Formats: sequence, C-alpha cells, structure tokens
Amino acid sequence: MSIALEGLQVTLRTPGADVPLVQDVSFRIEPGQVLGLVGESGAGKSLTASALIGLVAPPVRITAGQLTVRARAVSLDSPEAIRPLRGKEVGFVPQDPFTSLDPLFRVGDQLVETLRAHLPLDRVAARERAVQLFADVGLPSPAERFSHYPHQLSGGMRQRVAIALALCAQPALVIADECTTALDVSTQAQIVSLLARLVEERGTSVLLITHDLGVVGELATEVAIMYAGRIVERAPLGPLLRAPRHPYTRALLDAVPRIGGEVGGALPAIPGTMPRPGALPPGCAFHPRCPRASERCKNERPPLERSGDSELACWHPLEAGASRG
Amino acid sequence: MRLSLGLLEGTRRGTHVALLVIAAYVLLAAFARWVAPQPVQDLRSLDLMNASLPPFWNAEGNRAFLLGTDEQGRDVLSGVLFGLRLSMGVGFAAVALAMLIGVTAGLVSGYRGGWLDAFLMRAADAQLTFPAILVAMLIDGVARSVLPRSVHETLGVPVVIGAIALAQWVPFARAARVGTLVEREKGYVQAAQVMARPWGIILFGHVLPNVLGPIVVIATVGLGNAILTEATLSFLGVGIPPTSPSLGTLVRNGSAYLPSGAWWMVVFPGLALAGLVLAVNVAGDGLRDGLDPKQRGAVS
Amino acid sequence: MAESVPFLELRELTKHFELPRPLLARFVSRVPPATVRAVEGVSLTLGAGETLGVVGESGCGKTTLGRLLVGLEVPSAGEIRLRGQRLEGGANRRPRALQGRIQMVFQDPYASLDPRWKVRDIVTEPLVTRLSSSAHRDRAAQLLALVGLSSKDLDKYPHQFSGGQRQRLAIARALCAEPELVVCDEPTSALDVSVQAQVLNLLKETQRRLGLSLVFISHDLAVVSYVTTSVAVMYLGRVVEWAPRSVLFRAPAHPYTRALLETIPDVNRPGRRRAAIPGEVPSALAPPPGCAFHPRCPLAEARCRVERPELRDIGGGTLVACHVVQTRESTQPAEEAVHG
Repeated sequence: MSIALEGLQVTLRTPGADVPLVQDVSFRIEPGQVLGLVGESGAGKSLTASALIGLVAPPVRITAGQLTVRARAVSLDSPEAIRPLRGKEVGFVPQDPFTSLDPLFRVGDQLVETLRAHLPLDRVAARERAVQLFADVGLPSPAERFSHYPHQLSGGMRQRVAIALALCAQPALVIADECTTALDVSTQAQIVSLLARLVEERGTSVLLITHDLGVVGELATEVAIMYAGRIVERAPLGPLLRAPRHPYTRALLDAVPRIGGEVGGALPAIPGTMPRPGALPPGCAFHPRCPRASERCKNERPPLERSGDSELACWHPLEAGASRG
Repeated sequence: MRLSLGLLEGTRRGTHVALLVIAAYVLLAAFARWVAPQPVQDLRSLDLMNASLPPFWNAEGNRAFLLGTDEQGRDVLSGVLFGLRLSMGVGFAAVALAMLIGVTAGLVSGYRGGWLDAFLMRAADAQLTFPAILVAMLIDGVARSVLPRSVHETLGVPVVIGAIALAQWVPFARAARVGTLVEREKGYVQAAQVMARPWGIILFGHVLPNVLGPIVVIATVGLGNAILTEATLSFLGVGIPPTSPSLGTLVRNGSAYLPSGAWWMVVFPGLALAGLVLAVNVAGDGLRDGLDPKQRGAVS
Repeated sequence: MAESVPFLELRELTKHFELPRPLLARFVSRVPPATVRAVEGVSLTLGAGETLGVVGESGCGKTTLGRLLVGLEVPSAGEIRLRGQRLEGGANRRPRALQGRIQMVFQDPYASLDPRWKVRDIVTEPLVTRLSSSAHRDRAAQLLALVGLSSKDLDKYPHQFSGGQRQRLAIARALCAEPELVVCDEPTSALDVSVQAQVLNLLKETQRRLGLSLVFISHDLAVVSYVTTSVAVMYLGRVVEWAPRSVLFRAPAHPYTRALLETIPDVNRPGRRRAAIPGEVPSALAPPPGCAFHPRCPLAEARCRVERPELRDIGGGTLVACHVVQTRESTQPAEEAVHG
C-alpha cells in the first residue's frame, strides 16, 4: 500500500501575520521505495517530517494536509488524528543518536516498552522480539547489549537501536531525519547499508530527509528537492542526478566538492542565500539567484507541473536529457 | 540596551504592572524628604500631643496625619516613606554586593577550574547550610560585641548590608559558574584565548555579558529576599540601629501597641513591605519567563 | 624537500589527557591513571603558502592537533616550530609574545562570535595595539571587504547574519592580525552545500591573495581534496599516511586511507553501495596493540598485531605507517570509479 501526502501546509502564527513555512507539499511513496527529501537549512524539510509525526507545536501549526497510510486517510491539521499513527504506521529515526535515547533506561527496556505500547505482547515475548530486532539491525551481541545503557554504546550502535525502535511496530512509513549526519563516514556507510537491507526485506516506505546528496545517491529511489518551503523538482534518482532540470538542483549538485575535481578552479557556488520564510521574493523564490531568471520569473511563481514520473516548478528548465557530464 | 530589551520582550502585563509599582516605590522613597508630611527624624517636630492618633478617616484622626501617629507622635505615613528608603536602600545595596561577590566568584571559579573552583564551591555549599537570618544575626552579633558602640552605630547599616550579602551570594555564584562553564567551550571565548587576550578581559568582556540573563532574574528575586531579611533582622532587634527606623523596625515598634488597639502602627508599614516584596517577586518571575519562551519560540 | 627551514614543522608532537580521578585514589592507588593518547608522536611539515589537510574520523586527534597548533592546549611532548623558531617555552607553554601568530577558524559559526559584540569589534579584536576609533572602523571595514561583506555590516550583531556570513566574519577576524598560519577546524561542516562552496572559494582566494598558509582539518575527504596541497590521515592519534594531495587521492597507500576513500559516496554515480569498514573505531583509552588499525584491516598480518609500524617513505612523496604496504609498487591504484 503506498503512502500519499497531499497538500501539506505548515504556518507560523504570529500576532502580526501568518508566515507560511511549508507550502503545498505532496508526494507518494510506494512500498520498498525511498523518497529522498533534499534541501538546505530553512527549506522546510525537517518541518515536513515533524508534521508527519505530529511534533509540530504552536505557534507553528499545520494548516492543511492529508496523509494516507494503509488505506486510511488522516487529516494532519488535527493533532489527535496523528497521534495514533505515531510508531504504528509512521516510524521515526531522529538525527542525533546521542540524545534520542533516554539515558536513564537500558536500551533493551526502551525497546520492550515501545513494543508493548503498540503490540499485544507479554513481557517475555516482547523481550524475545527485542533481542531479535537488535540482531536484525546488526547490533553485535544483541542479548548482552539488551542490558546496556545508551552511554555504553557508540554513536553507530545507538543509531541502530533508534532504527530498531522505529521499525518495531512494523510501520508502513519510516521517516529518517538526517539520521546519518552526526556519524562518522565509516559508520554512516554501515547505517546506510543497514537501511537499504531493511527496506528490501520489509518493504517499508522510507522518507529520507537529508542535505547530503551522497547519501541520497545511495539510498533513494526517487528524490524531491525543496526550496523555500516548496518542492521545486521531483524525479527518479538516476535522471535527477544525471540530468537535473531545475537550475537550483543543478547548481546544488555542481557545488558539491568531488574528489578528482580541479584544484585550481573555484567551486561553482550559488550566489546569495535562500530567502527566509516571510521574506520570499515575488514570483519564483529562486529567481534572485538563478542564472536563467527572466521577467516572468520575477513576477509569476511557476506551478509544480507533472510530466511523466517527474514534477518540476520552473519557467525555464534545463534541457531534458542534458547531462551534467 | 540589548539586554534589557531582550528581557522585556514576551513578558506579561502583570510584569509591567509590577515594574511600575516598583518604580513608584523607588520614586516615593527617593523623594521621601519632599513627599513626607513630617520630617520624622527631626525630634523637634514631634509633639506628644499628637501621640497615638488613628488614621484620618477615623473620628479621632487628624488630616495632618493621614495614616495616624505612633506613641511618640511620629506620623506613620512619613515613617513609612523614610523607612521604605532605608529598607529599599539596604535591600538594593545588599543584593548589589552579593551580586558582585557571587558573580566574580562564579566567573573565576568556572573559568579557572581546578583547586580554586573546588574550594569556592565547597565554601558556597558551606554557606548554604546556614539560614540567611542566622548568618546575618551571627555577623551582627559579632560586630556588636567587637566594635565599640559608637562605631557600631555608624557602621550599623554597612554591617547589615554585608551580612545579608554574605547570606545571598551563593545563587549568583552558581549561576555565573554554570554559565561560564558553558560559554568557556564556545568558539568566541577560545578565539579570544588564541589571540592571547588577558583572562580578565575575556571573563568580564566576553563571558560576563553572556551569562547575565539568569543573574538579573536571581537579582530581582534576591532583592525581595534581602528586603525581607532586613525587615526580619530589624524586627528581631538585631538589624539597623533604631535611630533610623526601617519598615521592620516600625513593625517591631508598632507590634508592642497592637494589643491596645493601635493597629495602624503595624498594619501600614507591614502593607508597604508586603506590597514591595510582592511587586519585586512578580517582576522577577515575569523576567524569568520573558527569557525562556523567547528562546524556545524559534522555528526549527 | 628543500634544505631550508620548513615554514611549519611539527616534531613528535604529543598530547596525553589524564582522566581525572577522585582525590583519594590519586594518593592511594598504585595503578597509573587512565590516559587518553589524543595525539601521539606527530611529525609533519608544511611549506609557506601551502595548505595541509588533516583528515580522520572522530577520535583520531585532529581537533586536538589543531588546538595544539594555536596554543589552546599545551603539548605533553614534542615541538611546534614556525620558521624554525620553537613555539614552546617554559613547561611547554607558549609565551604570550608568540601567541596569536597562528590563528583559528572554528567549526560552529553560531558559537564562534560573541553575540553581544558588534561586528566591528569582533573582527578587530586580535589587534594588539589599540587604535583610535576611526582607525578601528577603517581596519574593520577593510577586513569585511576582504571577505565579501560590506561596511554597512559594521554595526550589526552576529545574530543578524546567516551561518555562511558568520564564517566569513570568523575568517576576517582570523586574518586581522596578519597571521602567517591559519588553522581551520571543520570550517564548513556546519554549513549548507551551496554556502560551503562560497566559503571554500573565499578561503582559497584569500590564501592566494595574502600568501597565507593553512592547516585544514576535516572529516570530509572531498572538501579536503579541493583545498589542500598535502594531506595527513590520522587514526587514533597517529599519522598513518602523509602525501601530496594528488598522490593521496590517486593512489592511496595505507589500507585505512583506501577504505575511507571507498566509503565516500559519489554523487555522480548514484546507486553505488559503499564498502563499509568493518567494526568501529576503538576507544582512545584502550588502543589495540601493535598497529591500531589491525582489527579492522583487510591486510593485517601477525606482525601488525604486535609491532607498531613507523612512518616510512615509500616514494612519490608518500609516508606511510604500515608493515604490509612497503613500496609504491605494492599499492594498487584505487578503482577508477572513486576518482571520476
């Protein structure tokens, strides 16, 4: 059963005015597929994740949006509707492995507690399941680790525990919010392999939130690029990385340093910075920084249009099929 | 200044009212000499004929003495105004001194660490085991026995200020120390160290302004405590020498006449004291709240 | 290497941290205190106007090395020499007169500028002699221009700037006293990709213009490949490989370096799985005997478990600390795929 998000709108309610933070975000993820949601800080990707698990608190509010999970449609603007989904239908792997586990409880107990909250298991059965889950996520000596406290585990191991917690109730969707960012490169690689394997084995849908295009390249089947609160391009992984159509996507990819690139030249950097919410320029939000901007771009915001299996919001997209070489 | 604006943002109306009340008290106390109907320190202005008069709305009252008089003919209202001046003056001075001692100790302790830190913090812990009143009484008692009477009279007020400050410096030290421990690890402090700036400048130019927030809040609450402590000491007879009565002294004097029905000698000083401390505490609470949500209100 | 004195020289630089123990245990116990060997016997050189990259994962000691360079930590042993002059004085502490010749750009742009100071005071803080206030302003404006900010920003506070702009301010500050060497500790790790590109370009441009030398510390090998002239790879406090930039990335010698390069995802080759290094970085409190990398090394032999390898020149400018990789011939050039 696919996951579908329709028209998510997140707003900051201030006494002066309402500031839109995330606007009109929609996507669909099939089982076993990974959607990479990519954007720089301030683009709204983490907020999208928070909205999907109901962690948005006033003065920030979800003003519109519908999430369909396991054929159930839930209206996101009511916090009570989201809460029952948390854990059972939607799992969450947070970014910081060092603060996401309760330091006062053993990791095994934390997993058991979560299991029993969502599934009808007695203590013995839950314990067995927990140890099994620890083994599934590649935690060495799972039975021993059961009785360890978080501080006795390394960052990589804690992240495995976090993944076990997210998956234990067998949710249809797992949201991974920058879950490899705080890890060393070699540990990152291990976690990425783990996630890939789990997705294949369990057929879970994954929403992978990250700013790291490298991780996206390894895990995602489809990528959506966010800019200033909206999705500006969405396409399957290969085509997006090889031949992006939105100038921002292209510029972003070009700005990533590559080994083997020239030492002498300058890294193609995007001038300026992303506009902050509430200070968006008229027309296309990217136009002040876009080398292809025209009069139309300054006045009219391009709508997100579908073509085939991709979406694009741009008046002057790059040529389809023009490779980055 | 950025600091004060930061604190006032996001505070409730109650805080604003409390701050206005405190401002009113301060003005009244500062201008007591001109506002007060009777210069109560001047013994020649007293007339025993006016002794023990009730407030003016009472049948036996006198318009000249709005809130009544005490057993020596001193106008209660004037007494309260002058007493306020002393109570607030001692309160402010004690808190300022406590802040000076405490913040310096906390900054140095947090920054240098090691033996100095251990020593200062154990001293602080030891200090906290003594209730403030007892500490103040202890110091005052020692001062009385050690100093000749005339010296003690002149030094009376500074001794009380010192005693109260000594009882109150610890929360400042702790807040300053914790703040310092946090700021010490930050880039801007380390950058200053890399530039070989003297540690005094780093502490007072960089660290101090950034840890002041919670300290200002502690100071406001501490002010209420200091005023009450002074009043308690005066009430117990071990505070400021009675020649210049504070609100506590007035309450002490007046309480002797309470059984005879002269309620106004106790009630008005008491109300003034309670009102002041209440306003100070509400303002302190409000400032503390003003600090927190502002930081939590940021959108992730 | 030239016969003349190298611009920067580290000789057997070492830093040990003793874990604090309760007072009584210090006097009573015979067991020596647990020590973290953060930096162990590091010897490196750098030429003027060049950039040395120091890479490694967390716990490898690169941050401590950076702190030793700028004088925030006192070495337990070894020396740092700038143009031949030893920087350590009595008790290994750096004398005040020599402090400040090496400046630093810190990782966190949100904590490296005093939030209560105005920009013009922040960037001119390193000035030793106090100038008149207009001279101060001029100098500040000059520095801001150097990093691409305008003099309109002089009277603003840090919170009015974005992360990338704050790093520019941090760079301006580091350059104020005209240091000869600037240590950059993960200066772009906290920044977005597009901003990172701007800051890296700025660093390179400024280095070229002012003839600066840089030590660039990072865990991001791709970034390092972009800005450096030579690279040292650290593992558990020691340098395991040191080579000119192009050589290291084209033909990495040490098994750890090769494994690290394999774990870098390549945006241009989507879908490629990284070959992960098995196991985890051991604790610095209990480093494995012999070669610290041997438990995770695909080439480990019996000798590696027992004897710690020294840094050895294997030709092509590469120094490697490995028993197995002895000569340049035995290093197979890494797969084409990694180096695009």
